[in-house]
Amino acid sequence: MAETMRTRALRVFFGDTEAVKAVDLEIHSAAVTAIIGPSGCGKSALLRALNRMHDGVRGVRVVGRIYLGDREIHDGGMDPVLLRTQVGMVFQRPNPFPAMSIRQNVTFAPRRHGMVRKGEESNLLEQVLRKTALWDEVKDRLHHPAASLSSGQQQRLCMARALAVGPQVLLMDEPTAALDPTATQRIEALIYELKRDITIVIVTHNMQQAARVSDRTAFLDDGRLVESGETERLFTNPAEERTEAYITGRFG
Amino acid sequence: MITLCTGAFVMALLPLGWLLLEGVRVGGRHLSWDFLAAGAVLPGLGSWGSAVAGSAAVVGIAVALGVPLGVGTGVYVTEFGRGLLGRMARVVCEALAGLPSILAGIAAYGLIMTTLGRFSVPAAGAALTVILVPLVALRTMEALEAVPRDVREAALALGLGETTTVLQVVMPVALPQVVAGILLATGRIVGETAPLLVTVFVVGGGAVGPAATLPTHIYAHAVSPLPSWEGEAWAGALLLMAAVSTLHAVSALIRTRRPSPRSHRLPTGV
Ligand SMILES: Nc1ncnc2c1ncn2[C@@H]1O[C@H](COP(=O)(O)OP(=O)(O)O)[C@@H](O)[C@H]1O
Ligand SMILES: [Mg+2]
Repeated sequence: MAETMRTRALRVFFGDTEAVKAVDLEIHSAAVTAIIGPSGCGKSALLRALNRMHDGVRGVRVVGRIYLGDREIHDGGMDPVLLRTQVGMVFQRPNPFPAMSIRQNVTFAPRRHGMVRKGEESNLLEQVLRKTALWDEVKDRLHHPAASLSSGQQQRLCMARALAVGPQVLLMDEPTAALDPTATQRIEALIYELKRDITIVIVTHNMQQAARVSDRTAFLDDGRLVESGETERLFTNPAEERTEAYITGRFG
Repeated sequence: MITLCTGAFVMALLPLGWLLLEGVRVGGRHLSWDFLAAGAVLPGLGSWGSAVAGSAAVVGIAVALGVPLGVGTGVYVTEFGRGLLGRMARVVCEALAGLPSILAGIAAYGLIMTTLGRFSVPAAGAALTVILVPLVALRTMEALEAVPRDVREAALALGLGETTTVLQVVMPVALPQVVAGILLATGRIVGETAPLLVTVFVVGGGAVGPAATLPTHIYAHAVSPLPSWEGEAWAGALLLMAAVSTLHAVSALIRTRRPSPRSHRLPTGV
């Protein structure tokens, strides 16, 4: 299977602390890659390096290479704006733009980027809201504030907003950690649908979730990539003792 | 303990209550349209109406200059000023906000009046601007800092630039708090007397020359030995209190307004 992204000797430093240590990770196309590991092991730090969310944050340093296709994302020729429209992100807490309506939340960025003409906005809106199974729930109140939605709906709106700029890769950092089981189930179902079209990387501290939604899993411990591979293989027949200890619940 | 607190609270309210009662009792009798139009007993001393107009002009100048400058400074310091300049601007704002207002007056006196050579409305406007800018800047900073960080991250993760993020995503969220802060700061300068005494306080006057303002007119009447003038001073004070209270009330209304009746609270923790 083709790789959409890969990292080479990727390190992330917070001040003098090395939170991600020489990680070589392969992210396969049109598949879901789960990043698992105990709290504080560097999952978020790794994920956020993939669309350069560490840029401009004081005290954070990213070393090593990250490829999107065959292009290095820190390359002088790579525009960070373009990168982020190709590698989108969904966060742990639903974070719709509070001062905007449901519609504006989705259309704001594509409009700013000149990706959509005024007459086509409604098409785009309907398309991404259908993809995130929100259309039927909100089609009659697109002008309501995004804050009027339930938190599960807000998170799906955030997914729709990310999809509206047409990314190849969607990064999700514990996207269901703040949601109830029903809302979680809906998001997981969506991930399953979406992976036909795009590549998904999901950070989760929930191993059942990783087992349910992902094709491949990477196990991170203390900033190091201990093991990665097909999810089923990794969970049933881990190559590393440390992985086995983690998935059988002996630490973390 | 509770009795002590209540006692202290009542003690703090007493002078305010007395001020209001006395204002209504003594000043209330004088308040009328005639009072605003006439009221000039001595030649050269303008009417109460002209004092209200003078205050409006001076405060208007200060708001027109001070709000863009203050909001601009607040946005710059919070969102763009990561370097030394930004940190210095914040320290300067905090220092200026605590500055005795008479110093602002003296600064304006020194800068503008010595060059124009006389008491004037623009000089007074400038003095009040010096007071307004740091107050508005600090309120703007607080309002912007209260916008959750993840809202900015959401915008950045969509490839939106910093300027777009600040002006079109973050600022609209902070706007009600900024407006409330502007109203409070305006309430403060409406009642400022000290800087006006050294910049604009003179009888009569025109658009750019000296003029009466509400606080200075109250002052002029209050220090007079005539009992009827004292009554008029109370009436003027009542007007001033009404203006300031209105600004405060609207500000409080904006600040405590619920964001959206059906907004969902997120589960905490995790
Ligand atoms: N902004 C920061 N400043 C300093 N240290 C940080 C910062 N963010 C994370 N860390 C540290 O880096 C390590 C990895 O953090 P993170 O990637 O958030 O872990 P995870 O997502 O796996 O729980 C942790 O030890 C954490 O304390
Ligand atoms: Mg994390």
